[in-house]
Amino acid sequence: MILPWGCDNPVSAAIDMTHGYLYIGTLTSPGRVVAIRLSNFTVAKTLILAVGEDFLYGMAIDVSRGYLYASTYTAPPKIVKMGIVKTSLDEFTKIDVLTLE
Amino acid sequence: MGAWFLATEFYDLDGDWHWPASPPYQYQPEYASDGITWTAARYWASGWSGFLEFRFTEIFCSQIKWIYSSDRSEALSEHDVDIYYDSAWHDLFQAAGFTKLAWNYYTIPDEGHNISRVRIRARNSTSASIRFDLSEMQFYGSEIGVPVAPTNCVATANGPSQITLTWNDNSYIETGYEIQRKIDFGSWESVTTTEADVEVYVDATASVRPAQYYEYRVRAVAPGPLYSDWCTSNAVLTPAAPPWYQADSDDGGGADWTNGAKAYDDSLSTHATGQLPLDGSWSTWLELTYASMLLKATQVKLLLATPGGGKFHLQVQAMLGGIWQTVIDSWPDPTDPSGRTWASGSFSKSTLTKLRVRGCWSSEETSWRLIEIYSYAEAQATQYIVPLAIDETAGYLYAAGHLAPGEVVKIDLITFQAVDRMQFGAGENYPRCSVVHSATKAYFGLYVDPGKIVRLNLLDFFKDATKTLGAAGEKNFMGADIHVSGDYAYFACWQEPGKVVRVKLSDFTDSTLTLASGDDRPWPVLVDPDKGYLYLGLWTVPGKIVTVKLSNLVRESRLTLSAALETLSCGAIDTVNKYAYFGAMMSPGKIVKVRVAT
Repeated sequence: MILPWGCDNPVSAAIDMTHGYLYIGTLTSPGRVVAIRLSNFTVAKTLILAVGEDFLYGMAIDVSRGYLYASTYTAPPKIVKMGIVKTSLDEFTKIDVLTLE
Repeated sequence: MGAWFLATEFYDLDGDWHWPASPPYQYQPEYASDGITWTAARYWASGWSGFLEFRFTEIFCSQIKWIYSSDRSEALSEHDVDIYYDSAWHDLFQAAGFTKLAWNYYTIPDEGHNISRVRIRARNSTSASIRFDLSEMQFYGSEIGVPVAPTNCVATANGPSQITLTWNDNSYIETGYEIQRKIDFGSWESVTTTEADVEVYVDATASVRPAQYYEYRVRAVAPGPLYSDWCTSNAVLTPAAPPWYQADSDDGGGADWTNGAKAYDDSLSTHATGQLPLDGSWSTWLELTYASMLLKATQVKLLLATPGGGKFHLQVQAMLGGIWQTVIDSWPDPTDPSGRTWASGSFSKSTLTKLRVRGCWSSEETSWRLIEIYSYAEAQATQYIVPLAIDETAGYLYAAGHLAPGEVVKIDLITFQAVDRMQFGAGENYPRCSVVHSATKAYFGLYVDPGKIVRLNLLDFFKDATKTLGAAGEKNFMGADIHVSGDYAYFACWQEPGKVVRVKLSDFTDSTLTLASGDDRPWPVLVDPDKGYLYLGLWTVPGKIVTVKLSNLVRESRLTLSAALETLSCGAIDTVNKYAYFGAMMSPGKIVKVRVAT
């Protein structure tokens, strides 16, 4: 699979086997998160993060609570909190950002 | 044209060239080189006299002449004459048989020396006190006033902003030493002129900056002014310091590179060697990684050399903002006699994480030497996050700061706030991967040599153990996964070939699997606990996936992907449907789906 334009250098990943999605973080500026539907191995949706939320080297998923976390390779570092797809692609959206000084 | 010179200073160190024994003297040292042959210095005793030393403005002296008289026969009037050069006295002759009351001539060997000091002593070979008069001694020189050149000029970089220069002071008449400096193969420029009798200069001027190439030269200055020849130092390279940065690791460079790590070791005397393929194609890339990203980078420069001083085609790319961009595409021409030169490239202010370098064959060279490579940046990231580990059950996220020493921030998943922070110990740097054993322990693999694994107690959030590997060469942990029910965590070493370190969770013991040749640079680590396999994505071209059987920690197989899929950098496994997914760090990005053991 070739990722959408601008989603270069995938560098982090998390999988949600319960809802059937794979999430990929990119080493780009700004960072992008791609949701891939496992059932047909297609791109379902791409989130483009804000300026300064770059280089998503780390990713973790909390399936039980329905959140995805991506860490930025920036100074200061940030943790971007996103919703995961459970029933609708609309749920896959950025929710909050925590800056770690 | 030369001339005969007289001494200007006289030293009768033993006081035995004066006569009578107390003033007024009829004979004294000054009369021995005053241009008058009927005055003299007198030694009147038995055996050897003390030395009578003459000093004069430094000349290139090729001959001396003298007149003496003695009550002993010529055969029994022994002379001992020394001359001073190269910071020491040298015996000119010790002999008897010279003619009395006439000029005696002696030619200085080696066509002469730059001297300013001569000494003589005489011996009356009898037990009785016998008169020995030195009526005149003169010195023939081709020039006057030219100081002797310094020798052994050595430059040493004490740090990024200071260089110490030392030399040997060989001149007696200098008023100082003039020092010049050449920076980065530029023109000679004046630095300073020291006082006389100095043999060291510390250059801590503002011109001494990190990651620059320096040469020095020194010469003696005498009144006139007259100058000695230059003494040129060795070249010296100041070590990197902000705003110049060096890489922290390399990928080995493939078939056309050797000693890649020598390209960022701050040493002028070592280098990486790049071969230039004879078929005219580009060499393989040597890729260099900065452990800490460079913020606001604007420039890259390479100190390089070619064995024959010829040109070749050089290309350098930088990963700027996550995208490879060509920053140098040139034909470096090492015109310096050392064969060295700089190549540099500038670019718009960007975040730099990697560089890669390659060369192309020319008719002039078949290899080249990458001595050092530097990047210029306004800042280096001092605090950022790489690995995340989540403990869903306990409700915490652990974010590791890729710092020296490393840090871990504990984040409450409910409030999404940092609730605690702890720092690793000294030398426990650069956490790069992590796994969590729910509500019990977290393990962080460090990107260091030798490799280290830090264990945190999650109940009280403190570091309770550190494991230092390295007995089997383990280093640079890059990826990790955990198999809680199997009681193991697995850490992949970014090496060629790669290694897998298995850590037993219950007792923190370890064992290591060294992968096969070509199983290079494993990054993503995926455990399938149900089937008992571990899958490693390799940072290779093309990308590869290695399967390891967990029960006995044995490498089972390797899958080589198509040429369009390279450098695997992340992954996840669907243990229900038995597929593994790997991301390929390419532009555009690619994801490969792989069927795993069912």
